[in-house]
Amino acid sequence: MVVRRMSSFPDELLEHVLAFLSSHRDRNSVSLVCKSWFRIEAGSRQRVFIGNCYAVSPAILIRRFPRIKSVALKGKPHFADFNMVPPGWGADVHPWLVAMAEAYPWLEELRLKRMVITDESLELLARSFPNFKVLVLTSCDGFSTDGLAAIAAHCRHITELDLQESDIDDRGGHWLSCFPDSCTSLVSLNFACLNSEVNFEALERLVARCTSLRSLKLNRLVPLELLHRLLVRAPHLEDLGTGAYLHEPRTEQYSKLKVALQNCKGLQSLSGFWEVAPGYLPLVESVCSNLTSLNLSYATIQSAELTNLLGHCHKLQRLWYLQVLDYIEDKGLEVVASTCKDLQELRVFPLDPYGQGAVTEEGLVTISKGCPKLTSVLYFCCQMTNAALITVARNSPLLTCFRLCIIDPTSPDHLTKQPLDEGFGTIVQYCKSLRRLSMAGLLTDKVFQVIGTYGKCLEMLSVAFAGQSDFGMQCVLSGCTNLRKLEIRDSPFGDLALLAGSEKYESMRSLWMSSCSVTVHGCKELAAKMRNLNVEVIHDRDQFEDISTMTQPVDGLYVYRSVAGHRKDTPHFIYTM
Amino acid sequence: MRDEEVKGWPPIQAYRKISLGSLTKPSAENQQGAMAESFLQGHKNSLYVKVNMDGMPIGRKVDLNAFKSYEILARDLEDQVRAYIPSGNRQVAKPLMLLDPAADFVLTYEDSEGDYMLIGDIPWKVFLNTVKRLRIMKNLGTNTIAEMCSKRRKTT
Repeated sequence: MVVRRMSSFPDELLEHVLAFLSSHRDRNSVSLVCKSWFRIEAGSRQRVFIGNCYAVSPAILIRRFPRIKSVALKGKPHFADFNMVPPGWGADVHPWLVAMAEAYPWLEELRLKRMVITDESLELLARSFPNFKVLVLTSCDGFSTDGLAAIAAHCRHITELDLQESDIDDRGGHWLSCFPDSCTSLVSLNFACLNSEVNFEALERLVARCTSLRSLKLNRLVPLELLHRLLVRAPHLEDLGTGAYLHEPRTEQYSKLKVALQNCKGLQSLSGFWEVAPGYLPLVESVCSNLTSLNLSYATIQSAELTNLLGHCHKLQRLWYLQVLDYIEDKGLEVVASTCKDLQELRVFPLDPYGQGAVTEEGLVTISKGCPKLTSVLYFCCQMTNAALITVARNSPLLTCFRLCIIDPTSPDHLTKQPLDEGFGTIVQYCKSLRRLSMAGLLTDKVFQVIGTYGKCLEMLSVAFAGQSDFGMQCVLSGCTNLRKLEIRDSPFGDLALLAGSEKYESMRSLWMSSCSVTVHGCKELAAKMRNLNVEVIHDRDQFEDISTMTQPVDGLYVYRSVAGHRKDTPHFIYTM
Repeated sequence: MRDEEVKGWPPIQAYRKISLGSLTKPSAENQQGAMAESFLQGHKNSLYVKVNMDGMPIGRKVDLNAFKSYEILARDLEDQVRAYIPSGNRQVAKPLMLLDPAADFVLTYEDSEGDYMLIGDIPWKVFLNTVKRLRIMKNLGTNTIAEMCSKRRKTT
């Protein structure tokens, strides 16, 4: 009997097969099969995703993957979005760029999220990678428009420049004029987060010569009166982010813009809309029927006009929406529920969290009844009931992401005054594909018990002001077999709970705990027990001289697995145990 | 009620925290803007409301804008009202506990529709916009209060 060993399988054939695998998870699984598969996969991988920039080092990356063209890196913990991570925490991309400039001169794509990137780094990037095509900076900071000028000027083949929600030192709009006349390759440009005016003529010429442009997100300073000039030059646009519409349109402007908009027959996604003068809304209505994605989360459109608009959006799959100061409350969502039968993702943001006109549980129930394809919800509201959550669970079993925020974080069921354990428990039980959950309101250990029992698909859990004892956290750690990210704030979980998950954290990306009951002693014990974890205590040094003798709970704790050892760039307020 | 100054709460990114000031200016057609303006105004100035207590002939006035939450308001009222209870009454020493449904007195308010409501159900700032006056009522017994509450829920 001949036993055909895997190593007799030609490498090239395996490589060819692997080329069909694009998902990072699939490739990671392949690499675990055997040594030769590990080697072949590593040699052929071109795109790498690093979910925590401190879990691995540039040197380790380069040693394993010699042919990388595309890198995605994530830095700060998620709660950094809400100012819960002090400035200077870290996640500087510069060491990565220095290493990659030497090892991957053919690098084409860099996608960063919650990382720090300086102008110096941007200049290094622009000079080091002649084939560079895609730069996406999501929620990043540390740079100015001067750095953008370097990218514009030197990246001759750039196809995508996306500054999503980054915090940029805006020194003026001159950077846009730095794209040379020879640059014709842009497919996607997003500078919506910038606050100064770019030269309109330069923008117009850029749009005109980039005939492959499909996505254009302008900032609020691009005057609406001139928008039609851009649209006329980019009739193949699929994704448009408008500027602000401050003044009511003159008839001539209105008709020019109407023609230009209708000419963009492929327009599927709209966003922007700061300060919309109501006279423009009928224009938007004329393109609504083709839209699959609508982001009105900056638009302070009054509710009546908004509901008119939404009534035309029959193909909408994704809606981001801002509650307006209004007495009609859930009415806008009723229109969505009756019109948008293909809706998959809904995000409702608060205008003034403590003001009137906030949506209630009724809006969410209405949506769940009317939109059978609902998979992703982010909902800020002023009140909730268990009954509503149970109804949502029954109507929307396909939910993969459910994030609820009640403005008062410990509010109970507003009718029964009971905790919301039952409601959230039912969500986890019925929504068998639930991967991400963010809870709100008054919650006891009971809900964590249910989550531990039924949340087998759960990958990310966010907890705030919830639970009664260590038992709650222990349930989650022992029951949620697929948990990757756990973030907890202001909850009564202490050292016992922390240590209960010791081995678990090695299979997770990270654990964040702030304003809980964890002490330095517990953190030290965890660090001593688990050598592959970085246990980082965040505490303000000014108050205490010697943190190791501190008995009170720590301000914050960040635990993550790493093959790169302890960080070498910790600021003064971080103590590695 | 949570102190609104809690760090990182609500969990919204900074660039999304659109202030009320960015709403369109109030105009004749723009009723919503006008409401926004008055909402803002109400918070800059004082908001004095009458406070009456069952059995007391003379009422007080309090500036609701001086308080941040129901707890602080209740405590302040408890302090003020205690001074009026005759010293011969042995029950002086007992605290009023206005937010406790089992206590001798409950704190209620008259809303914009003229109904008397138990305090504490709606967010503090929403309450500020709807409250017309306060009334410290004798507690008619938990059952009656519960009845009142359930009746109220059925109509809202």
